[in-house]
Amino acid sequence: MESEGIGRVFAALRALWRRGSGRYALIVLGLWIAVAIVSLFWTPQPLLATDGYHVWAQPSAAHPLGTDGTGADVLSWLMAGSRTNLVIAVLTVICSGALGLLLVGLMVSRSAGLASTTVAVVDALISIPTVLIALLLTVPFGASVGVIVGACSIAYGLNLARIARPSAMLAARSDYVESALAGGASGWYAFTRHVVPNIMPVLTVQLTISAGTSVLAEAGLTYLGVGVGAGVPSWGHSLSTSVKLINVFPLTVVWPGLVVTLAVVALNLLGDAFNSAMDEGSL
Amino acid sequence: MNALLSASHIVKSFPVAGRGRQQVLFDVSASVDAGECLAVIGGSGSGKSTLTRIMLGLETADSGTVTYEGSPVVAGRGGRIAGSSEGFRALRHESGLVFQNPFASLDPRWAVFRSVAEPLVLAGGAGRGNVSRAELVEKVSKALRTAGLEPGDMLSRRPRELSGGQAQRVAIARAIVASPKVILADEPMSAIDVTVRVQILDALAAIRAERPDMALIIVSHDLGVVQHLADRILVLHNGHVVESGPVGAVLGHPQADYTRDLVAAASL
Amino acid sequence: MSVEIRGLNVTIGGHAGSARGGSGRDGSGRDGSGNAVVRDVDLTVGDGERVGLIGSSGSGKSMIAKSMLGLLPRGARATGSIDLGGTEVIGASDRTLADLRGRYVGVVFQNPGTSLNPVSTVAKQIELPLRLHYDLTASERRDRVMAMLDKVGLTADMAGKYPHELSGGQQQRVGIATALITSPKLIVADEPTTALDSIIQRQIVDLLVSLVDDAGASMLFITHDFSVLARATTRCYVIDDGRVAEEGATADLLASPGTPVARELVGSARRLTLSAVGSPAVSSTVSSDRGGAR
Repeated sequence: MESEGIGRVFAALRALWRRGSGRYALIVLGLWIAVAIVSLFWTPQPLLATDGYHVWAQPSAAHPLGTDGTGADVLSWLMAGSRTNLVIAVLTVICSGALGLLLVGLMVSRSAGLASTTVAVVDALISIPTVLIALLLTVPFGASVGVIVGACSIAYGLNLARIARPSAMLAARSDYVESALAGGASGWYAFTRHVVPNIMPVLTVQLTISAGTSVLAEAGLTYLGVGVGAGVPSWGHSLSTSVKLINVFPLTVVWPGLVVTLAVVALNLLGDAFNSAMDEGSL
Repeated sequence: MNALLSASHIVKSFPVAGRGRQQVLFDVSASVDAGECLAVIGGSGSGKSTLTRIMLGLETADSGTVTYEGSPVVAGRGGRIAGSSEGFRALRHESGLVFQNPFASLDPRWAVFRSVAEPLVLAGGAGRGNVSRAELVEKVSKALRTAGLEPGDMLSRRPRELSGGQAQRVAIARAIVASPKVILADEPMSAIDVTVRVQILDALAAIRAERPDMALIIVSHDLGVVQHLADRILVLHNGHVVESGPVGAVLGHPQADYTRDLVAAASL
Repeated sequence: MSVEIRGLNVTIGGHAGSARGGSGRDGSGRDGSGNAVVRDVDLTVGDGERVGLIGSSGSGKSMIAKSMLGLLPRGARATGSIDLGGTEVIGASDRTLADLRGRYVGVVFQNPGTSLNPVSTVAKQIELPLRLHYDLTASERRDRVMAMLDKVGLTADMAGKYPHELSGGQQQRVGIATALITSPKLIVADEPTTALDSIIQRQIVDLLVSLVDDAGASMLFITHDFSVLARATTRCYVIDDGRVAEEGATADLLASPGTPVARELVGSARRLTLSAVGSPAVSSTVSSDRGGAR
């Protein structure tokens, strides 16, 4: 069983690699993860080292991407930021996936009351913007990575549930689930063995795109001051510290902007590649 | 009252949007003995699927009772499914289902082996270790052969890699794998080509020969199919039983107008 | 309207670009030049003739009909010649095809439940081809629709109903009315009765035959069921693996099928048809389906 699972992962990666967009996405993601790991042990400059004589410096040998307004090395902060964003993306995928599955499970439950209540609640909550959720969470918890993950997970989890519901319904009301239930299977069995595998395609695509959106959300929320705490490296942090002087020192904004764009595009393309690979039935 | 599975005085209605409720079964009774094949026939909207689903405990009735081996399955006020009753639990593990559309009745992401083995795994209960893999393979292979399929590489195929006829025979293998005492086949041939229908017919006939004690309830609007399989026929029309009896008598000398129409339409 | 098909080939897929990894098993070892689903088919339908196409699913019979209508799926290519009453269909512009389909050809589909627009009333449904292809006033259209409803055996009060309020048989009657409203000269019926039960099946076939004959139109009737074919057509083609395996008068084929495919189809139909019924109480025209509420 174990080796079969690993085999399927490799087959999936190969199917993605065959597509141009999938290849780009895998390369960017690979780089992202590699940089995040490297940054744990090494960055070109220590994060807290500031060079007061060279603020807003142009790229040089010592500072490949220049420095920001405090004289800190932009490359080092971006490298360190990549791990924060990676953590946010991964946690968002896990938490919004869990919330989404929970909601889908309730929506397709055989208790009509529970199902319709969940549908109504999801429809009502889905209209609340991510920013508003983050603002509400900041009140008790203060700005932190947790707030970003929480806000994204709630917003994307609701969205996921709404998007996955039709295919989940199809599976949950299918003849094969009915046979299983008639054969004595529990609702939990039917959900985990039949429904979840059948919504996996939608889930994978949607969660991949959510990971990308979490990068954007982090940047936006940090700019608004409800994102990562002060002093925590992140791409959003790099953006927001440099964006005020965009007219004077545009280059400093370009680097984090570029990184965010690359990552978001990569995750979106990965979602597309998953989608088309699954359409063709090679996953 | 020695019938294996019997339904008596079943009444059932469904809510219709904006128009109250529509009654689909009016005081209908039916029964099937061990080893017998009962055909429930009628047009669409006759209530034949609803009746048989209530008999198998898949749906509740408004009133009436269903008993399996003498214990109630559907009973009491409001004709509810007696979920905790012995009859209901026994029926769950001793019945098999075959549906109209074979592709809808097999999980598209499951290989044939896993789909066919599912009833065995479920019957094994929580301790899935009860059934060894070798034993599963053997039972699944045997069921597939009975349904007219050669196991071989069939075991690892997914439904999309099967033809309609193969998929329906896999679904039949799934229904019989746990040696049920009663099988419900709800229009098992309507969705399939005429040439393939013959294969399904042969598979069902072979199963009846191999398992002489198993009861088969077949729902159909196709008398041609029914005459080869059934011992007894129950003709439903607009929720009423218009005729019932041995297959030869009903088809040979239909009494009701509706049955006569059916017989006329089914002749070449 | 007559149909003359010469040397029709239809291939799906084609160029090597279609690298379908993983799923395997289909494709059954055909070469890279696409999957030939129709191979060198010659077929004619005379003026006012009812001709059948019979074969099991995947035999290519529906593809032949689709190429006639210029409705092949994306990625499918047809070569050869298809002459519909003097117009060459293969290579014709979309406009020509749409006009041809709208005015001269009526199509009855297999599943009336999905071929009818769920949010459109029966009258609107039937009227649509008239609106698209003819210049008539609303009252003229209304008159034609009501006359058509009567012809297909539906009562006038059906006009305002929606498809989901109708039984399967009634839905197919609406499908037939929609196909016939423009008084087409050719009817293509693609398994119109497969989804219906046997009594209704017979009513629908008989209705279709009488309407087609009354209008003096031709019909191409596609099915996998010989017992339906026998009622619907006078001549038929047995299609197997994209080729014409056998052709001839339907009654002759039924009596003495020559090829193994035809023998299998006839044999299956015979086995699945009631045999040796004691008292043949035939031809009762009591139709449980007509008009009435269910």
